[in-house]
Amino acid sequence: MQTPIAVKMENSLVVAATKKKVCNHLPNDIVLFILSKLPLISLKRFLCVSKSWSLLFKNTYFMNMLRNNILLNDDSYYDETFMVRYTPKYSERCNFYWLSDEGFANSVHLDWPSQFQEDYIHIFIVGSVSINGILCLKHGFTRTSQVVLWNPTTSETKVIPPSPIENRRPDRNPWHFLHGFGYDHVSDDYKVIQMIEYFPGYQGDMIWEDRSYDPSWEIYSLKTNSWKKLDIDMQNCYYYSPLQGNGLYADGVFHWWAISKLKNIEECMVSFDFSEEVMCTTLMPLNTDGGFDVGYVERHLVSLNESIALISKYKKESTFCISVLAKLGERESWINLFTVGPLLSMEYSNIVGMKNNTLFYRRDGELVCVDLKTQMIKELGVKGDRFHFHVGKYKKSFLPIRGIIN
Amino acid sequence: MAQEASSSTSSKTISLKTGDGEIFEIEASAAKQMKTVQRLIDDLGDDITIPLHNVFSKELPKIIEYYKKDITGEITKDFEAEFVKDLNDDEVKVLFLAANYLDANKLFEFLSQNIADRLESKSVEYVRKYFGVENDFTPEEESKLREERAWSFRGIKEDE
Repeated sequence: MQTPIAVKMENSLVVAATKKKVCNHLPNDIVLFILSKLPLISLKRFLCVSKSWSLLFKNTYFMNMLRNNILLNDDSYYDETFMVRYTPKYSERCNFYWLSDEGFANSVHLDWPSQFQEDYIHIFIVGSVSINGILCLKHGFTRTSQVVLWNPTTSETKVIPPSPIENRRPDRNPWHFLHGFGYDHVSDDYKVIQMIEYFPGYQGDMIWEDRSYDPSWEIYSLKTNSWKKLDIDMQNCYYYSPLQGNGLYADGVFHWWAISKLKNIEECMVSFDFSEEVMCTTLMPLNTDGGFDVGYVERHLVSLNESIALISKYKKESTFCISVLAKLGERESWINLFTVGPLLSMEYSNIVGMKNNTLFYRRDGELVCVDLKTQMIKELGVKGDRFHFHVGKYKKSFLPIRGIIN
Repeated sequence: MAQEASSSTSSKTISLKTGDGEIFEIEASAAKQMKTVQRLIDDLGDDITIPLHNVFSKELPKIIEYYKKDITGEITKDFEAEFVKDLNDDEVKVLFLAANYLDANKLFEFLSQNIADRLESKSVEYVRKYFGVENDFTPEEESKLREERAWSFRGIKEDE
């Protein structure tokens, strides 16, 4: 039997309990909590719900939750990190390592495949990720001399034969080769796409008008072991820096960041779909550079929780911004997610890769990383010379590199 | 009515009374997962039937079922999928509101993700109705916004 005191307490507690908002509609902060779990495209669509909802991406409370959710979903699919270290001395080769979480001291060096055992100094890993354990290696940046598929788990290699001369533009000198490597899930085929840019490079506006200098594109299929010309209309107004030229492969599509040689042409992302064999461009996000000095901005593409993200690093302000893309091809679908900095160590640095919410960059010739969740900076212990690096993601696979069986 | 004081809480059951007057039993360890219930127990004692004025007999048994599984560590993705399979969007919302009222964190998290998954491909009108949000755009403003974001509307059925 309840005592009078207990009844009093019960009543007051009941009153306190009912003061909690209970109606058929959810309180605002809870609505935001739910929304922060939605995919980016849905969020962009729901900006049309009402005026206050249209300001969703300016809501600090909401953005904190959204960022947390994006970072929380680690991509643990790739279990290893590779690192290529380039020396500034042109007499020394670059080296491949499995990068340990503890740092460089525990990293394991691996020899390049036999095709690259000679004095090769500039070996690049196309796409920054493995596809079924395969890495696509290319030697050289301008005038690439070799492209080789390599599975470092099984040591298997496949040399990609050079493309036929007929695919080239007659009367023009090839000077720059851009590559992409990917998997076409529709035809179950590995493909290598190659772009040839013709000399001269960026010497004034007049060359741009002359379409005969436009790059030519061709694609190699592992299944048929043959090249074929691609009909892609791309004007000769972009260039790709060596690291940007490595590009990013994700979900059957290859992406490069293209910077224009001409002032009136905006930077964009160029993306090639290996199944459809079509190219599309996505202009850079609006308002991303904000008040930052774009004099020495560096752009880098990474994948962040199944989306493509653009990292823009502003040298002057030692700050970087990350924008994530909701829909390929749609400029409006970029969402400015983070601004990190100013970071004391970032001024003279280059972004070299990203894995599991950790951004790797080069600072004074050393490899450093920052965890985006905690913003903790860690030095990885590569001491000495002013190296340059490329860091990427790898997943072991024992599958053979399949090709046509003759 | 004399109640036996039990020395351990693990086998003790708590009586909960819903807003529509029905009584349900829950194990004390499960009650601990619902912070509101635990607070009421702490203040009223565990011998008394705890009144839950804002939870009703339709939702409470479901919530109890969830936490029964939780204390035995049996909550799996399959269980969670089954748990919400036969609920429509409004029923999930009511359940979610109850979890919020009860401060039942794990269920709250799970249901919030489930609601987000359900709303992912829904139309703007549906979301307005669901959250009770009024459209304060003029027709011109709205059609301009939709045009700007046409790519986000592809494949979405407008009358859902």
